[in-house]
Amino acid sequence: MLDLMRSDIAAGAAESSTEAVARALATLTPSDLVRLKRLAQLRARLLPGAEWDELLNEALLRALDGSRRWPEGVPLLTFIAGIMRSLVDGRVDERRRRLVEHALAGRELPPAAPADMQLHARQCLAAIAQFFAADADVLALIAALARQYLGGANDAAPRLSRKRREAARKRLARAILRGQLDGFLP
Amino acid sequence: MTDIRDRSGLIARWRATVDALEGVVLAAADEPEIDATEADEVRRLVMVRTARRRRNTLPAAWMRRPGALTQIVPDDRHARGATASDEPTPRPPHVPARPRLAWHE
Repeated sequence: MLDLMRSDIAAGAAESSTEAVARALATLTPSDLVRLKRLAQLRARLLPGAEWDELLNEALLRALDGSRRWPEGVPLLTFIAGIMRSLVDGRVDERRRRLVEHALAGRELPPAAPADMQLHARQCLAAIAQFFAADADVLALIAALARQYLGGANDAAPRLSRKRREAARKRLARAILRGQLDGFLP
Repeated sequence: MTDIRDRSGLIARWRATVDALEGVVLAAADEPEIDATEADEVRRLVMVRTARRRRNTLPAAWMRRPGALTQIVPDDRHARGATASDEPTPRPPHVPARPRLAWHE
């Protein structure tokens, strides 16, 4: 993985963010490109019906038209992943807002959350549990990492030794990068 | 981001899981086994986007401006006058058929 930063690419301070992004994109290795696809596939799974290539395309558009600036010190893939995250979050918020407005217009109580999104989330979580059913260490690692993002415990997989945690992390990364997990998700 | 309307917490849990998996992908040091077709697919997408950006950021001087052509080829329609746009286009004068030559018969 190249792990490109803006400072590795920009010829000088005068070079704009968009030029730096365009040049960095041209130097991505096949491994980086596949990684970019996996990131888009994962993020698109948050929105039922969303397509990874449309999401990635829109993220690239924002990076290349300058509406999102590539900050110094941030790897390119992290930057693009961040754009995709905010695009999906924006769409989720928009769907919720429309649902609430629709419910209020009909003088109903706003729904708890879009039903299709809840069902989709349940199916995806169940699919991950099933995919790694034979690997308790990986499941414990995913649960611990997710808890961190939910604002819970700081220690990733406290039940596991460092060696087992790293081994589980490698197995998890391999399953995602080879596309095996995505093929298993609904 | 925990949504207060997501009472079951499923959406928040799934989002946190995606965040976690994304972190694993970004931090993975190993080179994944590459499927060249997949890499090419993403490369094409990136190239199309980059090419469109290049087209959209051409210097203004390179863009066609209205009236630019008349600076190179002066518009002399007014000087020629006469021909109004609704007038029929003049046809070439009628050329009478030549008499056939004797040795053709």
